[in-house]
Amino acid sequence: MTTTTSTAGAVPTAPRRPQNLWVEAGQRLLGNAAGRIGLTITLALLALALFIPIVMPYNPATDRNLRLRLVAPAWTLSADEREQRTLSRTDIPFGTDDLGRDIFTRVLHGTRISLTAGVLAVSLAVIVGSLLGLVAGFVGGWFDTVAVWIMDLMLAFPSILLAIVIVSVAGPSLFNALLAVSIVEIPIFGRIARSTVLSIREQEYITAARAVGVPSHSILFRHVLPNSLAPMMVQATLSIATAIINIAALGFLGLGAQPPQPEWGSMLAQARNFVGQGMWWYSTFPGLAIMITVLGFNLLGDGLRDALDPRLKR
Amino acid sequence: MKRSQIPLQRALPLWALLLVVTLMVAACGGATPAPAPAPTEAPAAEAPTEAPAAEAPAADTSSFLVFGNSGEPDTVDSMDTTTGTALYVTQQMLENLIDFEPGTLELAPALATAWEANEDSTEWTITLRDDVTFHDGTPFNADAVVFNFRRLAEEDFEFGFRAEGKTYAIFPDIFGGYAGSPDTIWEGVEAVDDTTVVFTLGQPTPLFPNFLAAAYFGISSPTAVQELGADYGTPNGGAVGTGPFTFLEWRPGESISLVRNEEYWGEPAKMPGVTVRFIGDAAQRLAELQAGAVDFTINLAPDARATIANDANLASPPLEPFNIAYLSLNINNPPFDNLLVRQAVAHAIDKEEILEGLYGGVGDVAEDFLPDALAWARPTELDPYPFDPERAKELLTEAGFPDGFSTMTLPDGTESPVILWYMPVSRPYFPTPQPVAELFAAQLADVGIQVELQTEDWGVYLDNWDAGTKYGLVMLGWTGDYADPNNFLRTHFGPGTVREAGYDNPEVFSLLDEAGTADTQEAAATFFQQAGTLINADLPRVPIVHAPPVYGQNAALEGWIPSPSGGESFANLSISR
Amino acid sequence: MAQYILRRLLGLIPVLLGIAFLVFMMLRLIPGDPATIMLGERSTDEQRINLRAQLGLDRPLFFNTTGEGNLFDSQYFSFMGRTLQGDLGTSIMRRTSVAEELKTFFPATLELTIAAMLIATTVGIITGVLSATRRGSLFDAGSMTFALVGVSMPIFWLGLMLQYLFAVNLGWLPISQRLSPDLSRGFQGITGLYTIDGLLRGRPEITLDALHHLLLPAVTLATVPMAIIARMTRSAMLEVLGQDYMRTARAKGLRDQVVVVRHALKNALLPVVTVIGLQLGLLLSGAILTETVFSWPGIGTWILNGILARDYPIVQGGILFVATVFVLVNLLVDLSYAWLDPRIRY
Repeated sequence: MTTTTSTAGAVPTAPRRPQNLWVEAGQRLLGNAAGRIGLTITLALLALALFIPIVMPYNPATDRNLRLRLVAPAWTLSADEREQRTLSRTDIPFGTDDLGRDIFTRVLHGTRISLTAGVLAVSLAVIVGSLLGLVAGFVGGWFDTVAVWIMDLMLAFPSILLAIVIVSVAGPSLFNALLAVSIVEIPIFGRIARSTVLSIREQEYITAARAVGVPSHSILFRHVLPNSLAPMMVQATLSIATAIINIAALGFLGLGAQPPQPEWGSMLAQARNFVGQGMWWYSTFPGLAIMITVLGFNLLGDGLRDALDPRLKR
Repeated sequence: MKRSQIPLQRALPLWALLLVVTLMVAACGGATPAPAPAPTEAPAAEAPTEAPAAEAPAADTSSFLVFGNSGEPDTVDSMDTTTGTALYVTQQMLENLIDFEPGTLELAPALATAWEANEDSTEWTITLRDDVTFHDGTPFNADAVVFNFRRLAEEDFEFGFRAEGKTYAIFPDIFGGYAGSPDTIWEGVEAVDDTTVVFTLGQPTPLFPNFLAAAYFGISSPTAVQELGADYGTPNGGAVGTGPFTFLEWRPGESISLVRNEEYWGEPAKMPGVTVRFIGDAAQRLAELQAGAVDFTINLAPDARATIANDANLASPPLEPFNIAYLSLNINNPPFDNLLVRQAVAHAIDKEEILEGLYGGVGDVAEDFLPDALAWARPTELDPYPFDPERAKELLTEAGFPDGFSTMTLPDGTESPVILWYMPVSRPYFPTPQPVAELFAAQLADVGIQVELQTEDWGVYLDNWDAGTKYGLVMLGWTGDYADPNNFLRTHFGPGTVREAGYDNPEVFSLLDEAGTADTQEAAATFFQQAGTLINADLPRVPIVHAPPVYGQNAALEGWIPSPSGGESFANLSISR
Repeated sequence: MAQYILRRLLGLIPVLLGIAFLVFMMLRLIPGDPATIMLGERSTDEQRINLRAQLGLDRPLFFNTTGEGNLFDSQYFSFMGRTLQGDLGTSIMRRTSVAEELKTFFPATLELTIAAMLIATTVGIITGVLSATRRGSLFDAGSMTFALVGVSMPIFWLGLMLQYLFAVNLGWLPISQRLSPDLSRGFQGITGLYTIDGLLRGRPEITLDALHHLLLPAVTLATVPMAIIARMTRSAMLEVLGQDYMRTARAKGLRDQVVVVRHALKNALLPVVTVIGLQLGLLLSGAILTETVFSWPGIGTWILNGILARDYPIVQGGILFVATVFVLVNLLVDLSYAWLDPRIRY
């Protein structure tokens, strides 16, 4: 994880050779174990999310098989038990749930829901947060004061508590959970964007651009925004991990995705009723799925941090 | 080298600082320790702490019964609550005038020894026991009964403490309104002598003694109610009645403990006390039962039956269902205004599959709203709606939906996906609402009706239901309070329910009214049966199952006979450890 | 420095006022009103209107523009007025004072959080140091893999699995809550932290029982910060161990342990302390989920139940209190950096 270090200082502050810089960063990402594993996991999950509906079509609305309720994974059953239920060793590798649905299928399809929700939530937060931060830092004055105040306010709540209150206002649904998680992340990006603006606002090339009459919005988008890209990307990747956990947590509290959608958090909420009754498989696999996905994005984020901007490494 | 000295030295003050914050915060949390302790709590709580420490430590308290309640009571003033979790506790401390025979809905004498009506059942004379005192030593007598019912019925009663937030919401529910309201049947209550009270009612009420047996009407000590004021029933005040247990302490978020009333007028409780733990999650209640941390518990998931059956240390007391789980169809949302569509829904639902799959096969498929205990009031010749997907499709075609449908029309004319509302909480009638809803959705999808599942906070759910803004299909149910068919029928098809889902049949209303005031059961049965036939034909709500709640107990526990209406005295329970 | 502290403290005022306003507003935006929830399945309009009046919920939200009485005779201003006087109101559900409820529920969360933080820092720092000194060893690889997994752990799931394994299956530890009923019955705490109260009251069995109950939730809550601290300690240690003066120290012939503890750890501590500070705030979020899984009667479950019951005073008071603690802790952490790191100037 912490293999590369000392070539760090060479990265220039202003984006002079953008093409090469990104290629270089990509190489550095692949040259680092965390980055490689993280990229592999996330790409694999992405591929899964994209192709699963084609490879393994699934309609959760009609899926049920009450004769196979709460059956353990077939590979853990004895030959007799399998025969009794006409299962082969490779069937129901993750067991079935309380409606007799194949947990394996549901977990795989859950990838799509969690990835989409996580990425959307963070994208929204990045857009709103960076606009807020950029404008606040650039305009300054009372707007800045108010923006900072609002961000401080939101950061003064434990994030899950704020998300819970927001979902309570809007009603439980996957979209509202996504929105709540997104709102919670806004101030994080707001702060990054604002501090980038503050740090480069007074630099020579910006002053020069102003002097030759480049309009403000153009300076903002041409020069300031690209500079905040690296820290933003790192934070966004890590935030996707947090967002996926938080959306699952809301689902677990019954405030997220609605049944029969195979969302991991709400699957865990159902599974909770059976944990004490020896049905370990029901809660194990959705939980593992959440963990692996989050792990993938965390690793990718770490890798990106090392690759994009070594100064960010604490 | 010099730099290396700084951090650790400076880190120590940091830890000190953190410690200070912690303590400060702790102090904040406990900022008002001195003035706050409630007057009643302190002495009560001190006795058990100090005493066992001096004598045999904890020898006595360890033999308390431990009950796993499904939640924390809102109050232990029985008249001021409507929730079952509270009534389980109040029934140990407060007693009714009339009670149920254990495990049945037959009336039995309690604080009253006899009850008698005048000719048209508008005046009820109740004779009271003369050998009973409250836990605080004050005597139980006719004045105490009058005090309790006046506090309940009269909105301007001096000791009602309504301004402090007490509501007595159950009273208008059972009597139609508080004293003086145009809809109430309540006229008044009077003490004739020390052991006789007379209740006067505005219309014939043959079932009045059954009302008195409902758990809400536990009798509290008037002295305690006056002295504790708004604190009565709260964690600071507890409750003071005549029952086999007296209040010891209420630890918010954790438990309530009660100790045996040694001066009890009847046979004293077998165990020295009972601790009621608040465990909101059904799976956790089962786990605690398995671990031996609770002796008995209620409202488990149906799948717990198998677990209990496979564990030699556990048992499940048998229970007769006294409830109804149903699916309401909102008639204000076309296409559900169409009887054919409602019939198609009824035929599409495989109640057997639901009962077998998600209730462990225990209980009865419901063709009628009335449970078996009230079978006498059911229509004798009912035309039921058996599971028949082909018939459902035919009906849909006839109604103009040959391929089924996936939208409905809201009252403002807009189209919306068909919503099936499922409850966010477990109730005895629908112990696992979510998988049941998923099953409904799958069964309806099989005949071409596509629904979306949705839920919301339980409070909002009920709020919107009452306001009539829950559109589409709604899962709900009911557990009876006492043996009166109107407690099931009027509650769901009476005039007060029109707004809920748009069912409005004046013929049914008047039949139910006539049944309620009929003097004999035979006469009442005829009216109930006619009403039932009409309801079955109109099909505003599809009855699904009558399923008994799942209770669990330690096999060593003896004497638990659960009441069908939920909640009973724990005095006869004993366990040897 | 003093000026800086003063400025930061003054800066908290608008934030806290904003939080009070935000909480008040958000609660009123939540659909469903407490009256219906209290009255349950069977209430009538009349009952609801009466109850709302009793609870003062029929008064205007912000400004009384009816012309009768004071302009500020509204829910918001009476809430603010009372709050400023330190009165958080009375719970709608149980009719006990919110401050008193806070007094029972907050120590539970505090005890859980402190225990988690203790576990996280001790185990985290020790693991980090050992990993760094044995860089490349099996222990290093193993513990860092664990740490990586720990950072990505959905703790509500972890709690569930630990509960299943240790409490339900093996039966070694209690399933939920803070004390066995046999011991808690009649027990009056002093601080509300049962582990300490047991000792203060001379009843060590209570302390033991409380620790027994505390173990699973505390480990659950500690997992994420523990993993982060372990990783941070390791990388900070590695950086320090590579410095010239470390080589000098070793060259001088100092024993390895002395070098590691006396010199390396001291220097590596600053970034670690930074991380610990950051985790303190995050713990509160984690505590809400952990409390739910273990039915821990803390402030998280208390506020959650308050939201479900639309018990405005509980949620208002609870969130305001949590947010205040949160900003104060963050402020103290910030201040401690200034103290710790001479390079930071204000």
